[in-house]
Amino acid sequence: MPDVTIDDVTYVYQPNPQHRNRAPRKSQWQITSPEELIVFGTAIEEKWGGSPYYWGLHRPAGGPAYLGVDRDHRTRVFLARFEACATPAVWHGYPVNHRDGRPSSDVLRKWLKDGILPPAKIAKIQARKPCNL
Amino acid sequence: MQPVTLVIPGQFWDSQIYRGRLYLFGRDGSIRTLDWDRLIGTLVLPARLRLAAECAFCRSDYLYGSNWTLFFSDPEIKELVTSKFETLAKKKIIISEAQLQQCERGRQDNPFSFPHTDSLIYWRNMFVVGDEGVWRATCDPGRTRHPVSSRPRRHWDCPTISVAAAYRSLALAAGPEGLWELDVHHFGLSSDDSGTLSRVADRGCDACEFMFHSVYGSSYEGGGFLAEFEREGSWATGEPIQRTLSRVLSGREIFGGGEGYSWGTRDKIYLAHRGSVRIARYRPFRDDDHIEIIGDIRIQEWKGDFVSGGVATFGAILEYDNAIVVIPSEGSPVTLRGEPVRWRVFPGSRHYQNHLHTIYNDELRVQSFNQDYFVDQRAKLFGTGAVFANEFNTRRHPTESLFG
Repeated sequence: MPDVTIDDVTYVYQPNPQHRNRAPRKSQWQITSPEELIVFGTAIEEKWGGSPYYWGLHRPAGGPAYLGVDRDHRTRVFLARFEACATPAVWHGYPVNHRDGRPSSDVLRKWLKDGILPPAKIAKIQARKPCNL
Repeated sequence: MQPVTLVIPGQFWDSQIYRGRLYLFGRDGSIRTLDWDRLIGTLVLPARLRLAAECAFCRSDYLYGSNWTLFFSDPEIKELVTSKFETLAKKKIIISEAQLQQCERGRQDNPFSFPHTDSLIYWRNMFVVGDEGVWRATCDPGRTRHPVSSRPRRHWDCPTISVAAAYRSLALAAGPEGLWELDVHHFGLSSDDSGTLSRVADRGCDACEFMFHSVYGSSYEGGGFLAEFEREGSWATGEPIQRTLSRVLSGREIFGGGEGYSWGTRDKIYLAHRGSVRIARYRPFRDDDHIEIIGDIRIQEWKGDFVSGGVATFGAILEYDNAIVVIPSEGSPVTLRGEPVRWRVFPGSRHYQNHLHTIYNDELRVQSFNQDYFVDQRAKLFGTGAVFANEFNTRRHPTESLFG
């Protein structure tokens, strides 16, 4: 089981196989498992969220890139959502369409301030508008 | 006719214009308020273009209405007025920081939750909606220390995407929570301004606009719907107006089938579907059918994935991934390239109904469309009926005489 240690805190991460095995109505990762772990680690390190969700982006060349497909297995998505279950916490994550779930204003404000996403994309995410990269 | 364009450099999140003031929401968490009329007055323009500049930016109502019908029926006069707007449209108007400072009425921390999803100003109150719900602050010059009161009040805690106002009521699109209304009758008029909140429709709603006394809810999932209200009372007699929800019509019922995103304002409803736009006219003041399909137009300027739509007096606005296309009430479509952060029109405004505000990464573009003064308001396919200056002197609602 891979884990991520940040500020001396270890986060146990267990990929959910349903998001890689083409399970119906489950969004699917299209990046590699090590990349998935990097997306998770960055979300935790940058504090992009808090209980119950952290939010991740795949940024292979600095800019955002698609990381998977939505539950219809067709619509490309670029956001990932991470949540913990069990005690002690075991984390897992999955691609998510911003129309079904989007980061809080705190996270979007951080992304806006730090230039993680262009303002036009952030405005579309917030207003649940269709948003292509 | 090309739009007249004025550019304000800066990194903005939103803009509002109301009663001679331009409110700029900065991405740095500020609100800057400008004396808009004064700013337009500072533009260095030849005297022969002053009328066009005033009408383009400050007085959209001036050239509308029956007062000018006879005047504009003279082709030479129409050509002369048109040529003034065309000449002005060729000028590149960029506002300098010095001009902004000269016309600044205030700069303050944004008192609302940031970033917000939508805003509007109604009855001297600024309403801002977003993930933290619905907030209101007074923006009445002279009543508060800052141009926008620094002590906003929250009226609802539900995440809200879009807000529209009319008939002393706010329509609120709350995504999966549906379409709601907040009665704002008392705001600013009494100490009890809690407002009454009611759910209009439990269908998903991503945007909303008033269609006279009814409300159109747009939805990416459900395709949109018209929440039709019956109205009692009258502007003409001064009898208080009461609205009662009578039915909710789906986009499919309105357009006789057809998938796609639909949106409406005042007397027009549009359905975007595979490169075409279907147009319906809404006539709530008639006894027979309230809705009439009046056109199905192929849009040559289709620019990839459709994002959203809007309606202004001057035409219909179609937002795509990387462009906005304005289909004016007369003339060729105007394509504005680039992905906007936000755009807005002011169909309910008297003075700014010809404005399109578009925010890009490093600037706000205020564009004014001026072909519509010469267009038959009853016959046009694109755009809503205009708000006339002279109609305000009557006790009828400004647009009712057109469609009653």
